[in-house]
Amino acid sequence: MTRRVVVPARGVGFWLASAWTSVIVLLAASASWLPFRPNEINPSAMRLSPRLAHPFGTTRLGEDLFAICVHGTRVAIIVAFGSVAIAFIVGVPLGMAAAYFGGWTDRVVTVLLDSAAAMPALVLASAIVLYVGQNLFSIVAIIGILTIPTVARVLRAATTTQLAGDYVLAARMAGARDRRIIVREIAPNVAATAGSFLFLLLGVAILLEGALSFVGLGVPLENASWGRLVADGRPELQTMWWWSICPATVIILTVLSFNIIGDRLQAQWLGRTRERARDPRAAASPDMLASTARHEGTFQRPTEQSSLTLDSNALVRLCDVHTILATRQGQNRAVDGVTLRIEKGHMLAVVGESGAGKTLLTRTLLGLSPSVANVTGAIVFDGTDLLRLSEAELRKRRGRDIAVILQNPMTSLDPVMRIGSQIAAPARLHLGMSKAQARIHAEELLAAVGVAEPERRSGQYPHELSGGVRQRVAIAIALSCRPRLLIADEPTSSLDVVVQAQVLDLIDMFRRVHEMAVLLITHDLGVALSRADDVAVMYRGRVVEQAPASVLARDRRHPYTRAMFAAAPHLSDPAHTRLVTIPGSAPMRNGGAPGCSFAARCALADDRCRTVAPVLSAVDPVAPGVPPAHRHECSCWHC
Amino acid sequence: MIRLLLRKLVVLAAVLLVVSFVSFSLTSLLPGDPTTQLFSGMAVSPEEVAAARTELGLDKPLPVRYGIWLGRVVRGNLGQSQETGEPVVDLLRRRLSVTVELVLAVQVLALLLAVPIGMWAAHKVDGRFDRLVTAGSFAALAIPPFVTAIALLLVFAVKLHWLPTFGFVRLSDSPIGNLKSLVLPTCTLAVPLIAVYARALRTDLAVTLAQDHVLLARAMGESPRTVLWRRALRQSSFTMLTLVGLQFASLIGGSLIVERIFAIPGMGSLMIEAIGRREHFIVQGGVLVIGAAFVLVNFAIDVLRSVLDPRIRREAFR
Repeated sequence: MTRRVVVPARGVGFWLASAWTSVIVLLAASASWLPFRPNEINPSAMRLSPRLAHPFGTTRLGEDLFAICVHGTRVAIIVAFGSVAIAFIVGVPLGMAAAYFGGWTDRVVTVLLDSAAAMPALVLASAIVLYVGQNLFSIVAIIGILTIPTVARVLRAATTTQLAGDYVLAARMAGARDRRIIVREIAPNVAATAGSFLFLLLGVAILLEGALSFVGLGVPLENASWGRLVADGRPELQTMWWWSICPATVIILTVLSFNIIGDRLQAQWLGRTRERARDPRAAASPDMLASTARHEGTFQRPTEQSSLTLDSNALVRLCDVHTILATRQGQNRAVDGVTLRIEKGHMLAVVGESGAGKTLLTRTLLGLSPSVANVTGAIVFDGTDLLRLSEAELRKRRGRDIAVILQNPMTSLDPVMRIGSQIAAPARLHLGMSKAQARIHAEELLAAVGVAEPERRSGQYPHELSGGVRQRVAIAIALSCRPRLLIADEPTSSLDVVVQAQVLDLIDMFRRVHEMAVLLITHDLGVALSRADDVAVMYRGRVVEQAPASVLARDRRHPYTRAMFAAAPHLSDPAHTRLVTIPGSAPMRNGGAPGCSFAARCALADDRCRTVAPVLSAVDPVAPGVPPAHRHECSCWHC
Repeated sequence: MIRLLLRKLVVLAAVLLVVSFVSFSLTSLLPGDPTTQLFSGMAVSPEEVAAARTELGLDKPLPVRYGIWLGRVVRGNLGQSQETGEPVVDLLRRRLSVTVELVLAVQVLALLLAVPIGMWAAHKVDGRFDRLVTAGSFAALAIPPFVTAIALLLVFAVKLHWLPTFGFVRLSDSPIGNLKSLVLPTCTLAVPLIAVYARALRTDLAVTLAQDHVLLARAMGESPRTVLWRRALRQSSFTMLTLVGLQFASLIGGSLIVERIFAIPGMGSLMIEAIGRREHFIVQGGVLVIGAAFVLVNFAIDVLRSVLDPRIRREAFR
């Protein structure tokens, strides 16, 4: 699965900013050939407000402010680009070397940078200006020198991040030399950060020059400067507002343009997108079907379709649940008509590969689907439809009636909270325990999930624990209020095999002891068959086959289930058995195209499969007395 | 933890030493030396100048002079003003109290506004308010402080007459007058800081809120508000905290402009005057005090961070 980075739209702001910057640069280059005379004193045009002949108005002496501003572009551009060039020429190698060589080089550079940051920039600048004299070159040099520490700092940080990348380690192990690694491997990656940062610094340089000119320590009087214009016009603010306001606007627009350009470039280079922040799966959809039509040509067989909904012994019943995500590429039917049931004290395993909609199904169950999702259908928990509950009512059930264990214990625990408090939190929230009660409760739970020395452990932070212990902690959190339904979303995927078995045993034990229903989400058909009472196989948001685990273990009907079973290694296989793979990959988005969703990858697919979607139905004629839980259902025209 | 603290203290000492050396040698950048000021306008022979230089210890090499100077500084002696003879320490203390008051007011105002803004923006990333904050912060960062100051003066002092145009009233003289004289300068300096802090907090919060442990907290029944305030805020505030420390430097620099516009007798204006009058000891002492204050504040924030974030202790040993 390749996750393509979606390039964010640059937007109107970016192009306006680029246009403004181009105009400023062009004016700076051509100012002396243009018919603008900045120093021309014109007694017939004194104190004129902005008008066609004088767009920015005139000064007390009749000088044209627009002409001065046009000439001021030169100072602004020379100072901005000159000083940033100086800062980069010194700061880039310094920062990169410090990060790359580490050790004493890094320590010395860091101390120097810290010291430099402590110096009041404007005070230093003023002192140096007085010493070296007020000329354009000295201003450029001073602003440049003052910017060096900032550049070096940022480059040091960026290089450190890059050094942590695997490819640098690979190059080092392959015996590449330092210089080669820096030039070939690190520099191109750091350049992105540096490039966007450059534009921000251009803006800062213009602000600094303006500040220096404003206090009278900027460029010499023969150079037109925006900052000085603002200062000159200040006493006349009430009588001649344009004198200060027009050049101030020019400064603001220029700095704003640089900032916008820098920000957009950074967003692009880092591949940071707004979509990805919201929902990773929704945005990362490379090859999408054009059609977003809903169930065209779907043939609905009216037979035992609602068999599961009739049954009322179940603790949880999902009836035709749809979770449809609105994305830029159209809608994604991530959960597409799922009907499931879980009995008290039973374990239902939902199996499928990534992108099947398993995780979104759990989030739908919890009422925590992303904001772009539209959920329909019914989720009946102990007689109440969760989808009809208000957020506040739902909140009372989450954690208390329904609890969850997430896939990765390295990320699912709060890194800055002691684990005892994390385990105690749901009990305090739902059971109204006092702090002291909750602490004892947490320690008991820790002991119950098999963590030694619970008193000491409960005072630790997640980073102090191993992966296995963390997942035990996650189970303790989930069990904190004795939930009636436990959703375990790939609880063992990130653990090693021995720990996997222990964690599953633990969940199983609590299921039996507390008669807790468990929804086990997994991509491992083997785990599902050996652990669960019932198994449902999901593909692209739909349940394609479901049966009691004992039935499915010997009789698999759907081509996808068979392929998945064949793709897993079995201990009974003779040595050197070639593993079978499923051709193609699961599409990341379900656009709602007609036909069976597995048709594109199925060897048995024919025209009917591609045009009409099959519906989940009993594989063999069912005797009227057989309870739904014991039925074997499959959605395939060929089974 | 203690080893980490010790290591940080060593770095702190090294940085302070470099800062003191730069402040000391800074004045050798300025044209002339203390004798120029001493004898300005007087007819003196080169021998007399040389004698005065020897008396002041100016004929010794730079490292020796630095050592002597440092020895005095440690005992709290920064020399006297060459013009008035007032001890530099007293002068700095008087001016520093004004700047400290201003800078603290700015930081408090900026944080009071930035934290809710950043949280609200992160609460619905890419929502209407979030976009507004992004656009607003761009604008806030692009406006030079002297422009903000002028605009605020024009509206609130000149047109509306709500606040004084300039001048500074000491807290001890009149608390209300002091407050009034600080409102506009504080607002001026706070504008870009609000943008910086709100953006940093929003970015980090958005990352935290997308994490599994936040989802887990929600899945266990915590309300979005509890998650935001109790869980996400603390661990998302580290970048902002670091920035708060770093901004002290630019605040003191930026306050120079504001002090000038509003005629506030703080450190910034003192430094400019001192540089203009070649008051070597005041410049030396001022830069040293500003630099050392910055270093110490950032050290404190660094320590605060490792108290707030248990992971830092571990990272330090990697």
